[in-house]
Amino acid sequence: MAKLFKNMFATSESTALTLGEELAQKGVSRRQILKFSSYVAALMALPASYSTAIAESLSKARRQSVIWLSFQECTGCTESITRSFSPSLEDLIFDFISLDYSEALMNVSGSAAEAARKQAMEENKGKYIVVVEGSIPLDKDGIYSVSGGHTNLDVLKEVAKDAMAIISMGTCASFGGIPAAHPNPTGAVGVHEIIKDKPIINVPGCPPIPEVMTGTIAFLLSLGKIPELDHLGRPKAFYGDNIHDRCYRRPFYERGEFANSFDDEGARKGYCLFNLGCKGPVTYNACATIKWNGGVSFPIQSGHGCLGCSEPGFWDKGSFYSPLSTPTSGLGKAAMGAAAVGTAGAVVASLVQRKRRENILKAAAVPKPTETKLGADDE
Amino acid sequence: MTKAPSSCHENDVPLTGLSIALLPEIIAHLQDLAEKLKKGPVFAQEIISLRGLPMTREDIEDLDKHLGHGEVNAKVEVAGNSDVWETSYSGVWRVRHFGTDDRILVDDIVIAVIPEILMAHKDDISASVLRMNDTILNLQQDGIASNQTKSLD
Ligand code: SF4
Repeated sequence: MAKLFKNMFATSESTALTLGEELAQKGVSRRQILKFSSYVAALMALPASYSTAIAESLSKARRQSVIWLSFQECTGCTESITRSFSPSLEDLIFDFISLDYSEALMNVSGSAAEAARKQAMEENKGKYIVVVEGSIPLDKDGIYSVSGGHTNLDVLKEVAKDAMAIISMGTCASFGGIPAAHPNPTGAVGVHEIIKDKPIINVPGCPPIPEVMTGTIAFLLSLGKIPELDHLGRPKAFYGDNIHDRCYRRPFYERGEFANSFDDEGARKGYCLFNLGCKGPVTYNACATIKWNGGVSFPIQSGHGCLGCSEPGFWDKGSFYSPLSTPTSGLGKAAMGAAAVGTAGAVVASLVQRKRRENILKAAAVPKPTETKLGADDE
Repeated sequence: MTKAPSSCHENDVPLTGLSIALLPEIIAHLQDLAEKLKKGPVFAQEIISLRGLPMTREDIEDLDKHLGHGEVNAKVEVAGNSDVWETSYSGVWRVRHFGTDDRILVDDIVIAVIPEILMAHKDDISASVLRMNDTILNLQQDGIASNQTKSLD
């Protein structure tokens, strides 16, 4: 763990080298970068053959300066991304970034920490990425959340000014999340309601899947572009599919086989959880494919319906346990609509993946790796 | 071979039919590769990423049963372990990268003469030339030094 933190907080000497050079100095072979790239390609639903192109551009890139701001939040998002630390392949992302400021993770505190942030902003003007975790309270001039004498609102505006892009990590930073839940006592909002002149990538989830967070950062780093986003500003690679359309319980839904309580016959047989309040039909996220804890399982596989945590206002949409067709807050109709579409089910998943990948590639304009004659120099 | 992680509903998770549905896609790529190779040696690889598909553990096991096990088994020990093996169909490979705790991070079917991860990169080869050169120089210097000591005796 200590080594990983050290990796993230790069020295100025290491930021001057390209990643390829820096890793070569450490005795890291290119196979390692290729392996990481194939991991990123798999995550982003890019054709895995693009991993070669990603590996090339990654090794020519320099460490990316990242400033991580924590506002009204529970630190669950940091917790989630740092859980992806232990597997050695995912560690590599931390060799690629220079986390110049993070209240939760950095050693220094007080004015020294503020100085580090200011220095990173100065040295990487227009080039640093800001990651925001947590919502921003607006009521009473933002006085509900203050750090070092500055409101979250002031810090966000100051740091965003010279940023290359902002990643709103988690549902709170993306849409206000739980702090903004009724009656929203602090007037909490997401980043996009304050910052209007910078590219913002929303990575919602309570918390987001670690691979989705690292994948989004790795995409920015290796392709130097904002990934294609949906109408809510979420990367389509991860939020392009409906949980219901990708759910392995979908065949039971089609056959009308439902669990009606958590310990009935249907629940034991792994039937569809719609009647137990599953919000899968109106939720867009990668839980059904990337899953959690390195692909071990996800809520529906563990027997609980989806809570819909990557959607705006998920906390205020009625009980987690009432079926979507029960009209609680206008969700009923939407759910029925969504559930009626896409009856083709999981067998077309491969086609869906291909279509999605084509769109992502179009947006990213990734050069198609050309075939190489064996033995020929590929330059 | 490292075992795939178990799911929480080991006995409940059904086969979705996706394992069989993938076979025509694999053969299409394999046929393509066979055609390309007729014109001379090329490096081309097509990869199907199983982690991007809503497959259950049972689906993947079923697919591997159909693909079988071929002649080549390789381990890549860098940034965690990787298992690479050729299936019983020549040119159809399985590449699996693990994190710690044997968690599968990448689970691919690779259709290629040889998967790229097994090939040495040209930059690494150039670095090897320098490194081996240093070794030879050091050995030669050691040799000269020891000869000098001998002649002094
Ligand atoms: S309602 Fe929920 S459990 Fe049922 S198929 Fe849809 S996503 Fe899966």
